[in-house]
Amino acid sequence: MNGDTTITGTIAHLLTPAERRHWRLAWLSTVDHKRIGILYMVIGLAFFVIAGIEALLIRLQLMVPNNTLLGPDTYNWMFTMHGTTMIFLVAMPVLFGIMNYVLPLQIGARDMAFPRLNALGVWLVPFGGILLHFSFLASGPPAVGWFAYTPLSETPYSSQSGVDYWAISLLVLGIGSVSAGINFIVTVLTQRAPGMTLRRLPLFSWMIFMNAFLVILALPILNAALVMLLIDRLLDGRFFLPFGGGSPIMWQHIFWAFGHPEVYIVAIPAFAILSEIIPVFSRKPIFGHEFVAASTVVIVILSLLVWAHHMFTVGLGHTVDLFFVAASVLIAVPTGVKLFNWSATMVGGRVRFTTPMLFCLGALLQFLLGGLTGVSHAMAPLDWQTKNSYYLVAHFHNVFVGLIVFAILGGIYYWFPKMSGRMMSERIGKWVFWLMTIGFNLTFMIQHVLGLAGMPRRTYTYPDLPGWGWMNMVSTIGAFFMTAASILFVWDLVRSLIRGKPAGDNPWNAWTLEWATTSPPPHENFDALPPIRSRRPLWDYANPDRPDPVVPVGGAIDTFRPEKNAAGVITFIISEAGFFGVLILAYLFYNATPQSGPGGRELDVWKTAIFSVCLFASSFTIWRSEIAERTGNHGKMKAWLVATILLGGIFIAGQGLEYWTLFQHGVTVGLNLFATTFFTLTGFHGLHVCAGLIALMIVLGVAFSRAFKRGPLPALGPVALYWHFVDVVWVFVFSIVYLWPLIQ
Amino acid sequence: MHMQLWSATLLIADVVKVFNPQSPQARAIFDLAIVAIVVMGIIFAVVVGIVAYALLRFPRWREGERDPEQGAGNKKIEIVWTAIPLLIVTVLFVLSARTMGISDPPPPPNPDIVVTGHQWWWEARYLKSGATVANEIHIPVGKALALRLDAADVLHEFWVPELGRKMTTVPGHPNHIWIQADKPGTYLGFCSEFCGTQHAWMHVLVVAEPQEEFQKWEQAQLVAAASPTGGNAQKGLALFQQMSCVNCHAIKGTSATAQVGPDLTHFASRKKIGAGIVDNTPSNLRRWLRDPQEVKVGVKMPNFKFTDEQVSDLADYMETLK
Repeated sequence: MNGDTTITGTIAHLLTPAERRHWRLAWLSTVDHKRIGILYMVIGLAFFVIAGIEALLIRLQLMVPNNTLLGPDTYNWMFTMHGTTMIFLVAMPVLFGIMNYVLPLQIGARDMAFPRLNALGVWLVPFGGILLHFSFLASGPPAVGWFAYTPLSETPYSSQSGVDYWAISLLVLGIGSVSAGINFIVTVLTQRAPGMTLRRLPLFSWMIFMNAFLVILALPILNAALVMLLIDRLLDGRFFLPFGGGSPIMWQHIFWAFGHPEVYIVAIPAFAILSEIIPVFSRKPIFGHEFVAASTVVIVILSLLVWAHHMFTVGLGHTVDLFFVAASVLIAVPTGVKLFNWSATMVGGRVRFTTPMLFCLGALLQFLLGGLTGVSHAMAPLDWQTKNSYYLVAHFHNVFVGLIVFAILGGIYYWFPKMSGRMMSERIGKWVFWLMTIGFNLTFMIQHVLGLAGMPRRTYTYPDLPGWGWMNMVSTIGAFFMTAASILFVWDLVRSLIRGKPAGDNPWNAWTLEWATTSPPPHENFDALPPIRSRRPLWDYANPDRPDPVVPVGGAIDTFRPEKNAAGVITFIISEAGFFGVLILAYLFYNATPQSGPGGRELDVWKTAIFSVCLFASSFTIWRSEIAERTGNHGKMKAWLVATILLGGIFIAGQGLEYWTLFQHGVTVGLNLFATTFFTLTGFHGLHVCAGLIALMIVLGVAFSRAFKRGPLPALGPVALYWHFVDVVWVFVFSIVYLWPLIQ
Repeated sequence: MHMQLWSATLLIADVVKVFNPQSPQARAIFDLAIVAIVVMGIIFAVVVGIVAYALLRFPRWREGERDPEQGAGNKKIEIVWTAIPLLIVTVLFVLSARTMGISDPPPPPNPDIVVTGHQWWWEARYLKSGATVANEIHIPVGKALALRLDAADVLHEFWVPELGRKMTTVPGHPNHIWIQADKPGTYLGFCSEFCGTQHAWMHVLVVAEPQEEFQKWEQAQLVAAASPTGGNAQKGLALFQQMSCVNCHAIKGTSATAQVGPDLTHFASRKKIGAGIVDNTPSNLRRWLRDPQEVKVGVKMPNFKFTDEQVSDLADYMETLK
């Protein structure tokens, strides 16, 4: 350890000697997954301070009835920014940080599959966060709640720019999250150490792998919702405004189709942390590994099918409600399996009450309550009473704070020694734990009762009804305990970073690969890896007398290791399919009933058909180009590539011509719902064609550059894949927008 | 009787309104809640029991000691704790479905009252009689009335905890609920869907009274306002009709017929001003007229900068609107 006891000295210590002179630049320009992981966490922590202050202001305002500390608008800003910031700028970045740091180490990889994409993802977080907070300097932050229900979030009711900042910022963050999700999936698929089959993945890595699928499926749905809202707000679109035929309920469907999986996107990493830490400090492997792993798959699938349980009071009808009651109560089963297995892991173990273990125990019990109140919300009639009350506020904070924040704190106490080479203080850690536990339960336990007493959420003040005053007071006092815990935690971080005890490689006697290297690990993680034959390689290594049974290699899927770039593009295409899926569904929904003004019939099908043929033909030309590349015929390859670009260009020109004609006839985005949906769907397809064209031109430029005069052009395959996808989307769009009206 | 015993044993009926159901619809939900609480309580106890057993029954970890037996799970146990919860949620699903039917029966073709959420007040129109009121809904005791819920601007949500389910009011998507109270009384309700600046003060009072009293009240609501003869009140009426008041408010029997803000024909008979923010007292009324924004920031009624005399005349007039 170096003797420098300043914070910059310590930060510099995490770098290589060559980088220390330019340590700021080294951190800014890094593509190392470990540093990116730390950056994610530090950025998340910074926003945690902001969102925490907002929470305190909320609790101060609610401390006594009829309080006038904050005005209504200020209060409404505070809870909107608190919720948005905590979810998108605290929970997600901090968890992505832990995932980023631990996942490659745990699977024995040298780095993430796409280190530069990883750097893009992390820097989009402060970009999005600053955009969001810039609204404070513009006309004021959004005051619409974190789910921005329409029509309140539409221009007539929120005419200032706060909601625009909100939507654009979440779009930026959403794109960053998708890029991270793609990276996690491809990393697990392609970067695993030899012997690390999918079935041998430790539970943490397995759950992060599953979670990444949820990220790439759910976030594009949010992105689609956001662009639709922005089109409404900035281009006078009509998606969600009731006059003019739009549907406010549609916003809720789309938002929660993202929003509920989002809850699991931040909960599954917390499950993953618990699944990692509880066994280590029970000195036993997890009880029923396969069942915990499988329950995660079930949760991922079910979480995509339960969104309308957020909408039991919107009036969808009992039939629809019942479907979502069924799907939602079902999710309790795989979640219960997790809770039982974590608990059973401790049975027969030798429990070690370290700070990480305490946080995980707290998370287990608090999430138990949060999960059970979740079941009560899944039962529609109970939700009819408790929804939008403080009972709901208590429920989701039991999940977000009781489970997720506790798991994060446990995870940081657990992996900090690996990240810094130093231990955090067990003494301070226990103080943090108890202050946090007392504070959390004081704050939120009583809110269940407040909700049942009738207190609605998001009210800036309340009348002095029997019991309301003292219950809110208790809640506010709890918030101060949590503040004290947070300050103490940050202090412990800084203190330990400078003068924590040296950690050694494996301070907890843990069993997964991240502990098989130095703390902090060298730039490319490992000098040598132990043999991997089970899920706990270091246990096998340390206990040759009683190693874990070998996990047999289970065939092609188990050892599946696709080519990196193709895997990246295919995962990207899956996420894009979700985005277009929403736009296409919206088009079908809004054009199912006839409406006044122009519709699909007025479009010039034949002209567009000709341009479409050009686009479809370009799929053929790029295929020919790929064949030429494989056979080494560079001239042909370039010629076919040029043909592809030309055909794509003709298509875009055709689309431009069509738009121009429509504009000439007064058909603009805001004219009617057909125009709104038409321009949105074809416009986003056009944007993707343009992106594809740019990619093709870059490939062409590379093909002409000196370095690639001969030999293969690896970029062509993935770009061609993407180009085919854009064409396939057009098959759907053309059929629905142009052909469907013909047969109607 | 049985249910009242339940409530009494909870000793919190006065505070915890959801556990103090005052209608068959609310009671059905309450019954389900009790089942849920018992089931959840048992599950909670079982998991806490397993954790406590694990922590208390087995020795703690000691430095340097050999790690315990490395068990890896048990398929039978896994099946049991998958199957039993599956059974439990199936039962909860069936019970939920049953309760949905009881607590939220299908609506009749024609509602009794149309309730419309506005930023930030409630309008209620009695379709048969034609009475129009604001922020205070009277119902006859023991009779279920059908409500149609509409919204004039953004989403709102109608929720009277003691009387049953909440329901969002969605512009362009009418919803329906039933409302009923078994005992006479005044039940406080809220807007529970965030609807902008003054979401906090969008209360509604549901007043349940015996049939005859309700009929008397409804008849009284139909009577046009009498024009005051002489005094400040007459000046107040004149002022009301000259100033912008008539652009938003209606008073039956005068030239004011606008439907933008609350109907004021029987303003003085209401208990609250500003959808619950202050009591309807002479001094509060004067405060409101002097500057509504001072009483309820952001309310759609602007400050008309009336002189003290104008405030006094208007208030005198409005106090005649019994």
